[in-house]
Amino acid sequence: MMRFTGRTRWAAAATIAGAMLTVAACSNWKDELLAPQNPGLIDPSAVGNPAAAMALKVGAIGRIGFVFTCGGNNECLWEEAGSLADEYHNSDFQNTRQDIDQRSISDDNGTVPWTTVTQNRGFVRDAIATVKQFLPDSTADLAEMYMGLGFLEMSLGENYCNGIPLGHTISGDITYGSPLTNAQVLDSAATHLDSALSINTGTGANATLVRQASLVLKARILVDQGKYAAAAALVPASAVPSTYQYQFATSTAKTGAANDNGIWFINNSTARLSVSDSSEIVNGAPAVTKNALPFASANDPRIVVKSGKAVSPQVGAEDTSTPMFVQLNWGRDTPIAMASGIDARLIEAEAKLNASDIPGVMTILNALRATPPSIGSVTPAAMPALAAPASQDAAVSLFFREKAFWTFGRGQRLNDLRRLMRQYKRTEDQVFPTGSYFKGGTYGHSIQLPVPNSERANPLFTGCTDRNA
Amino acid sequence: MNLGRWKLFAASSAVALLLTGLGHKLGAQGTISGRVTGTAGAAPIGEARVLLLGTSISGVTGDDGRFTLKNVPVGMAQVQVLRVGFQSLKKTATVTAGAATTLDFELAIAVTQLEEVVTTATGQQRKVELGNAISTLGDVAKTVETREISSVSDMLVAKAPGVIVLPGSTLGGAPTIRVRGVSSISLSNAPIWYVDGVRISTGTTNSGTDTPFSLLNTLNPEEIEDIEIVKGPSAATLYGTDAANGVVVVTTKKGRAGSARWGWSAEVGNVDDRTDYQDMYANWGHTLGNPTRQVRCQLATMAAPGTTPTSNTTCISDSVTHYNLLDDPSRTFVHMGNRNLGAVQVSGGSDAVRYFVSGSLDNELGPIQMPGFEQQRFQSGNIQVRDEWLHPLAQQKQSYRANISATVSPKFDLSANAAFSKSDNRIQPESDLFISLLYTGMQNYGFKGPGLDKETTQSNGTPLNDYLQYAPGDIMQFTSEQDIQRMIGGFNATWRPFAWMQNDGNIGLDLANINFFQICRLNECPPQSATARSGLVVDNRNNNRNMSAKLTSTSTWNARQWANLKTTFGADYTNLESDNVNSSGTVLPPGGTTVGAATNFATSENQPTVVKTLGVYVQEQAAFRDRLFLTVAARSDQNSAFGSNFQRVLYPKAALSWIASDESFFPKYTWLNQFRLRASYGASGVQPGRTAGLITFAPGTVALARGVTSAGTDTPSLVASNPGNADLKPERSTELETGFETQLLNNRVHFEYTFYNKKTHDALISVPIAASAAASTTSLLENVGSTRNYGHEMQLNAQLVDSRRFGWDVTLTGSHNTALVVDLGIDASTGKARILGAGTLTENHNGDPINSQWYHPYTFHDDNGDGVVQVAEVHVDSSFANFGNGIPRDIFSIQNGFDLFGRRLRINALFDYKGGYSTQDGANNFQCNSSPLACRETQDPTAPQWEQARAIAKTYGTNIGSTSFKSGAGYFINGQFWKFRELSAVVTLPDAIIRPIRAQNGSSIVFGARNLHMWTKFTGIDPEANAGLNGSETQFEFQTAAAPTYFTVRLNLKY
Repeated sequence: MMRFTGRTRWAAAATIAGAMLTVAACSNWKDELLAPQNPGLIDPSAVGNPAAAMALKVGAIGRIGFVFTCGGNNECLWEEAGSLADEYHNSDFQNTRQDIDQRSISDDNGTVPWTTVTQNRGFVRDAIATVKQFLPDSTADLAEMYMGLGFLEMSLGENYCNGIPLGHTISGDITYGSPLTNAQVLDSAATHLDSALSINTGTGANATLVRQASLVLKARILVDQGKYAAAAALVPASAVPSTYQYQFATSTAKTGAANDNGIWFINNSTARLSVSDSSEIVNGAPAVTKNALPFASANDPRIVVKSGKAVSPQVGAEDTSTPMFVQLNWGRDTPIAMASGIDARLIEAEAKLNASDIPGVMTILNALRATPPSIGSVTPAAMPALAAPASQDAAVSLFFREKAFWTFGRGQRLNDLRRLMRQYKRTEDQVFPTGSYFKGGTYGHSIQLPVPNSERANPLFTGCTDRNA
Repeated sequence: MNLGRWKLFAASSAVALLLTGLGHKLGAQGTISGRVTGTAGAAPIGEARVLLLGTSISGVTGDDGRFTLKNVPVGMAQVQVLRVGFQSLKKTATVTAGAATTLDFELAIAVTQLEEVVTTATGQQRKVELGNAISTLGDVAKTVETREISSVSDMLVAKAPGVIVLPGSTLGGAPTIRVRGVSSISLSNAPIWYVDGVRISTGTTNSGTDTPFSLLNTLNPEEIEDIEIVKGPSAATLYGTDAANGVVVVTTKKGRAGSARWGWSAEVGNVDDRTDYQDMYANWGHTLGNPTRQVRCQLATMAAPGTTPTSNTTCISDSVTHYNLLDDPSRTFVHMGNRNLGAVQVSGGSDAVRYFVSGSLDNELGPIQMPGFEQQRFQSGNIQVRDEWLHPLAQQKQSYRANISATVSPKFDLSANAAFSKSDNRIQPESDLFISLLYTGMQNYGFKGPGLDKETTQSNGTPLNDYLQYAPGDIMQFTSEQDIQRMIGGFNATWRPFAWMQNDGNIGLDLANINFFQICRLNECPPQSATARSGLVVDNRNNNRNMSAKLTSTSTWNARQWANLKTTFGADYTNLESDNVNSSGTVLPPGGTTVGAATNFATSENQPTVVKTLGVYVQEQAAFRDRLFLTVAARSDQNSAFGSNFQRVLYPKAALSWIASDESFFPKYTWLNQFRLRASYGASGVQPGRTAGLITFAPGTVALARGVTSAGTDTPSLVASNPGNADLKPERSTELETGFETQLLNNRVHFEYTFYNKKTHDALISVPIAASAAASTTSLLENVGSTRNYGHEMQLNAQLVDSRRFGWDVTLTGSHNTALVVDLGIDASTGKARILGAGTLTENHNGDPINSQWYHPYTFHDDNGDGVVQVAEVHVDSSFANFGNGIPRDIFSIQNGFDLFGRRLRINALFDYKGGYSTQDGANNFQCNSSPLACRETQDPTAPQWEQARAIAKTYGTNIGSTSFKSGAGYFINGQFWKFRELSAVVTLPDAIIRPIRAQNGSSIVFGARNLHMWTKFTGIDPEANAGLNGSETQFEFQTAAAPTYFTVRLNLKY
């Protein structure tokens, strides 16, 4: 047994050893042992230059395109808004997606594409900030970003319920927004488009491309606001020719749903949405769906539709029961127009409509029908002129039917149905698909996409403020 | 790395050790040797641990029962011998300088089989010295030999109180193991694992389906000696950051001195899917508008029974049929699978060098086989049915291990452990994959043959044969394979420069290479998309590299005859690293099977991401009269995942163990043999994700189209990704644990009870960010909350009958856990208490169970009394309500062992219970709400009304204005069950059999079975069916198979 005095010394020595270990732990070598080594990560040091600013701008354009191809195996805004309107029928098993088609949408419907629209405003803002800092002379690029921001906010205001928050995050600091009405959101979108137009002073091809898209989008907002003449004044053919298109594209070289045209992917490839029609089989008996347009059966040259059994390879509905109809305007990698000269002409026509200038409306519509611009990969054959409707009400119906075929699949139909109620004083059951639903039950009464409950992480948001307008 | 600094560290350590010894003169030493046998001249006892109390000196007896303890300080020495199955025994001897002292032990058989030595962070220790409960699985080698055990999760399920094991549902599927419930809201609650001191990866890996595979399945139970579960921060403090959810310590088998001992095992058996798959129904009807056409009615919307509708399109029910495709021998793919195993082990050696070497090969075919009609279809088309199509669920595991221990000198031991395993898995397309095999089989039309607009062919004309969507043969062509090659190895060195000092060093590696491969060749697989049959190939390569190193120095000092002090300094370092390359291609040429052969392809590469932890710790243990044990310790950690504003975390610990019954003043009762009280307090943590603290940007490619073009131009892009958090620190948990252990009735009964109270502060929570904030992410990891997790655990081991001819022992384990959100902080925007996940399925509120599930409540009443619930008779409320937690709170197990026929036959039966939770009936939740709406509660008017109502609440809901309120609450139901988990019959082979084959005693034949029966009111497939965990730690089931039933025969021969 050791003597106590020895143990005292031992204890002292042990203390010294412990202290040395502690000191060792504080030495520089420790920093090397612990230094993060993540060579695959791109950190802020890589983005402080003009090339990175341009890359962020390109990234933002990609995110704006999430309205139709949203990063994977998902239905995006244009597809779901088309389903809630009468462009598509649900043809898959997922009941939350069926709810949208059936206009019976709960606030906790996880299919509603909300994040893929509103969150992407942030990537556009990031790009605006870096382009301003590192590419201050690239006015067309900066304008394109403001245009994209305006487009996204316009998409929110046109398709979602009243009560849309528009927050922002700058350098990690989150500022939540209070719920806004659709009109307030459209005002915000118009402001961004005004910025795009005022910044874009260049005359190059890119500047012109962006300016024309900005004009079309601004004019769409003016139409939403009931300022039809002002809208038409922005987009005469001299400013935006009928053949003009600002397009979203997808990669031809990459695999995966994120790189496929979203409409083609959901309709032609996975068969989760079928092109809709006005006549359905309900409980074994033919039935007409009130207000639905016959996109599938109209045989209209603007939107080429075939039975899934008439294409090769055949396309069968995912749910195995819904009659499958597929569009042929957009293939796997066919670009799709965000804004186009067709939109410009239709804006002009609607201005005529609201001026009760039915002949003027018909002149524009028939001119388009006579020399149809291309839609996707389809250049429609010339269509015979339409006879002028006998009444203003008939003209309204005719105009929106024509517009529905010209703009099929491009995220405008739901807003037009809502506008028919808001601006043309029609009732829900005069506008939206109504009555028996072909998969059982009846149509509900949803007329917009709700801001889903996931938004309640924003403490200023407690739900839509108005789902009836 | 600057090697100079390493040298500095090494030098510093050496100096420290030298300084530590300065106070000593090399005292005179002697030797204690002896022999351990059973009582009354019984056979020698091998593998007994011999401890020189108050020092780090210990030994293990050889087969002849002999042991030697060297370098024993002169003077009085107290030696204790421990061996599972025997009562421990202490003796005192006087050691004289340079002399050998003899000390023999005769151990009495213990009626309860308990492990008395456990492995702690500072080395092996007697259990009685610990102030906290540690569950040990005991003689794992024997368990593996005598039960139906094919994976580590099989070994753990229902074996230890407080340990919740959700076995992997499918072959190779990842088990979910949780210790004392959950504490983390956003981080993993999984324990960390060590194998022979090496930190190993246990994460999940890609299977190509919702059901992940697990690296845990590469651990071979045949090689394991012992598994110990260190349950909470009070015990796991010295394991440091990441150990707050517990630590599982695996010790593999080691060699013992003696001649070579061989063990041969062979196992064969059946794998049977005995799931009671539910019937599908068809309600055949017509409408007034078209009375000659048969249509499917839905209970919710058809005409009330006995009434005539006024609408021409309202369905009028005529009859109801039902059909179970998976039970139809002419249709089903459910087919008896099989498994076989061969294993060989040899161990032995001398006092100087000991070895253990093993190898095993384990094959299993799951209970799925391509139906005969599909085989014929392919054969008639001259298409060879590949084995991976015929048996899409299969696994082959190879495992090899060599453990070598050397006594280099009386003061220096060195051991090397190395294991290599190779695991090849196939899994059939399942769960919510678009082309799920079970899905297309389970969710059928409710009748056989044509009718009700049933699609009889898939879109390319292939007959469906009553399957819903795709031909099963086509689905089975979709091949998913995973190959894991893994090496776990390490070195352990022990240096005892003085009798009172032991220094241990350990360094080890865990290298895992995980390859995932998926293939649909040209013109194979279902036509689930326009491009599906043009060929698809996925080839992903993942590498995990873990390095862990540890140094400890323990000094002991018998300050008084009645007091012993033990001081440990330690430092450890872990470096966990992973990288991957993922590639995929579509459109393959004939015969093409590689990404390089594809027309379109994509790749992504993730360079290594690393998380590193450096910890130093000190522990002081004091033993008084070998009955009162006090431990205090502290550990400080630094971690590369901490935010840049946070440097280190300190974890303290204190523990007390008191064998009160050894005190002279303690009342003596004949029925009470030992009573020990224990209490401990400690802290530990969970680290943030590897890169959670960093600001990052994500690269990508965007196709830009300028004007009217036929295609875009791929252009490189960036978007902001992770916003980072410089203030990130570990989630820090403190735990107070108290309990007692007692031996009763002549040691025939052992009972232990533990109460624990764990509080987690600085909880790392993924705080949702509303999408409207337009941040780069929709959640941000922050230290914002606190949780509490408390509960009770008990274990009872009893030998009810113990005679020569018959024995009956029973083990009961039980635990109850409560996990609550305490405080989520204040929401800066409102100044009110934060609510996480508001308006979503998983909400967290202060005071609620963690990850509570919220739904719209609903009510129903058959107002018209027609026996059928209609849409209008169900009301879904617009509000949300808490429907409780999804993780079992109560677990209980009963294990009975019967020894019969002079103990030649042992029968073991294990039943276990899980309750106190709800889980989603995922199958009905989907089937009853999606085409063809053929589940019973939508079709059969005799279905219970509550089931009819839940389908209506989910499908139709209640419309209030233009808002629809729907509820899946009816499918989140009580998941409690009893399961007959294990049954085994072990026949010890008699001499008449083993002599001719020259085998030795201990050889046996075992009839084993697993997952024999379940008792539950759960309406889904199986409350344990699990396609993985969702983000809220609740299990996810979506038409997922339950774990199959195994019947095996195993032969164990000893040589």
